[in-house]
Amino acid sequence: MASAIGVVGRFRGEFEALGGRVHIARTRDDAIESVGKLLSGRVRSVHASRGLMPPLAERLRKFGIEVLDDSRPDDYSEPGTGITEAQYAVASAGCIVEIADEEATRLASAATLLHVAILDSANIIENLAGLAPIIRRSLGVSGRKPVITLISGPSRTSDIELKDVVGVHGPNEVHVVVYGDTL
Amino acid sequence: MNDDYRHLMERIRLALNDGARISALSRAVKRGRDARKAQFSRMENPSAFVSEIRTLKTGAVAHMDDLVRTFSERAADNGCSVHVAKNADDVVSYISGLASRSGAKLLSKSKSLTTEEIELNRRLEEKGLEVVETDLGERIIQLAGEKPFHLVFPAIHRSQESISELFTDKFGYPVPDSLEGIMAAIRKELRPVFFSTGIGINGANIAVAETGTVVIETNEGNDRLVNSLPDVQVVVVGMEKIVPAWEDAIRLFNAHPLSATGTQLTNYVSMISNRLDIGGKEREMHVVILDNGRSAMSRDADFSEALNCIRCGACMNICPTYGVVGGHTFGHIYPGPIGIPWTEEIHGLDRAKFAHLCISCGLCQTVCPAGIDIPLMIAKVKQKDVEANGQLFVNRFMCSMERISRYLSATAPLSNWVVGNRVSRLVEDRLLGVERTRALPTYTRRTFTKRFRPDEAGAKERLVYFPDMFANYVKPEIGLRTVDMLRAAGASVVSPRELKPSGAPFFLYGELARATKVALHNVSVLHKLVSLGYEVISTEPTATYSLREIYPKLLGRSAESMDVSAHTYELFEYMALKHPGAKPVKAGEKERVRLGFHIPCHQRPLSSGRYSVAALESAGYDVSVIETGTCCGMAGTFGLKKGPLGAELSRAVAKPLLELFNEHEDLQGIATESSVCTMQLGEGVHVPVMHPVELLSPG
Repeated sequence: MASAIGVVGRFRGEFEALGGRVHIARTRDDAIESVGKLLSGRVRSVHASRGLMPPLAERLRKFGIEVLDDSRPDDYSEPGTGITEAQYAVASAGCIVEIADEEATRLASAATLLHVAILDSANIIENLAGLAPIIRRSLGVSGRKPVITLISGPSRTSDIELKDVVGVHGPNEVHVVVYGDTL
Repeated sequence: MNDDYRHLMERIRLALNDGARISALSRAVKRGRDARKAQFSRMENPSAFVSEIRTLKTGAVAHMDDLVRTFSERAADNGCSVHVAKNADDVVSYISGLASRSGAKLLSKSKSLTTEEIELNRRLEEKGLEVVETDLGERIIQLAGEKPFHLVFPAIHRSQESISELFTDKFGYPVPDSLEGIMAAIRKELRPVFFSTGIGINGANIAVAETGTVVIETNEGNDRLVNSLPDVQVVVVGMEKIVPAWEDAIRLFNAHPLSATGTQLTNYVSMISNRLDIGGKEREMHVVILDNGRSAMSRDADFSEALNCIRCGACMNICPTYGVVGGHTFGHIYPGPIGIPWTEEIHGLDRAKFAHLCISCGLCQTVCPAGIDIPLMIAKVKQKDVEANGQLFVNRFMCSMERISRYLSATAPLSNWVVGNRVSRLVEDRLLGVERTRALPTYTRRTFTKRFRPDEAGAKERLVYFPDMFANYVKPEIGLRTVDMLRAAGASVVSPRELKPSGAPFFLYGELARATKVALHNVSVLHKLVSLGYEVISTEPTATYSLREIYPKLLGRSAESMDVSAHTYELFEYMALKHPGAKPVKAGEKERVRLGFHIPCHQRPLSSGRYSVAALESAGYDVSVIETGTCCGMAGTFGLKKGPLGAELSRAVAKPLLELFNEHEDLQGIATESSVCTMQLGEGVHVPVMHPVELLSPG
């Protein structure tokens, strides 16, 4: 991606304008380290999507954070913290693209109060039109299809007197740690 | 007056008496229309955007049956159960069947207008099930036992204080009158609901045939809990929401928030094809595709276009009367302008009486992201109602205004006294329904038609002037000055006496047969001239709008009507395009230099007044366009009518605009081209209101 720095900057600008936070890391490993630093002292346990394991669990243990082993919806009944991978992001719209093969991944970004996603900078696309082939490819698998979700910052409402509030039923804080060679 | 009208008027009056509600609503709709406008003004080509949405929706609706078939097959391949439901009963029995099979008693739901349409909650509750809305606004109105006040902000009519009182009452513990307090309470109440419901019900914003996937958009994220946690997930989707491919879906999930709230995307856009695994348990997904009259609607040439609606609410945000009375008055279940054809088609004509709240300003069409001709469909609903239930006497009277004006002018100035003295005004008020506190136009016997002398067709540039009623019977100077300006530019001008006024009242009051007759007459008179090389000029925006936009619609886009439309211009548009070198100068009072400019609604689909503003500025006036983004509320003769469905509502619509003008204390005058806007503004501002042509002389 030739103008990768521009794209990351644009994504960051748009995503932060929507109330999200973007952090930059050099490698995937550094990104996981950043997640630990970000959460250190704030939380004691997290939900995480399986794709991030096991390096995530090992690294977080260093920060005194346990990755929970979730197997039932009820494991999410207390709103906690979720860590997921954002497979893509769209710079112009300021959204991350979550492609979830398991419900646990969705719940980690939907049923939590604090959500952190890590994102490979090479996977930030310019605009929404670029989503069509991504969606098509993701849903082209045989058997169970993933659920694809575009997430543009924290959960929000303006239902009371048009006042903007973040954190309704989903996270009130969303962080994305972007890493990659193209930075 | 029948009971339906009486009921409508009572509701309007109730709404007009609630100042707090009016100001909450007007803030909400203004925010929506300003945000949309900001987004659209950043677009490279907004009309191409609208035309893409229109093309994709029209194509999808035309192939609705095929799309239902393809979607159903693909969704079934994904492992979903698909049910095509004919009507409300069908949906209710399907879902209650699922509930009894799975033993679920508590159902959670995320916002869905399609399930509101069939009053799903009430019907399921009648079957002993409990349904909990999880969108904050929807939950508020569910607890209050109300219907949505606004499409995007369903509870916008309620203050924070009233919500804290409602929650305190319903939850049984004190909920503080603060945002934090209310949010904490709603989380506390709903969290266990999400985790204990057996069935989650979602609406869907889009369904994609290509992969059998539904797309659900929410800002709060409640849909994600409703469709991930329960063992059984049901998605209810209107048949018209299926599109062929992902490119279509992407355009739509971008268009929804752009047009509704001015954002690129709704916060969460979920694309769901099947259930995901958690704990190895088999979980179900059901997609219910609702017909409920949509198939019939798609075959109805007059109303099929309503199916192109993407439910963004932009038409509500710009509708002048909706912005005052709100969705409980201006709506049955579907509110606002697009709610009129939807209600008539889905819930029946007798529920669609609120159609008469439409004042035919035409603004809804100008902001519709799918370019739906909402005004024409509304006029057709009004026509159906008039044919079935009769016309109000005062509307009949207003429809004859053009004929009456001719007599009043012929007998002026005596007629002005006869009609305008206090006793007559009282009688007119009581017997005819003409609001007596409204200033009536002063007619002149020396009409434009009598004073105008046509040119020989010698000149190369031949023009027809269309004066309409006001410039003919009331202020012929407007017409005469126009002709002078055109002649000074070297044109020859004619104005055939057989031209009739535009017929706009017929359109406003649903008298479409009479409107069509006038259109046919004027088009045939003008077309003879257009085919000889004449161009048509008018100084009354409603007349120009009629010739350009309304007549072709009424005449089935006949070749003649399209030809006349293509050759019709506003005065200053014509001057700017054909005589860019002509520089009119200030006329009359030279010291009047600071002007406010008002854009009449019917001028918005034309030039939005930009040529008139440019002409005034080039003559040395200092001009500011002052606007709330919606109508002044006069709407032809609507504002002259007595009562809630007339002057009372009209004045309530005007209030914010008049306040805005009056805040500009340095204005020395107001320029606007519409004669009826002139009446409304003249009543509420303290500076003269004039037509731009009165402020300019040929250079």
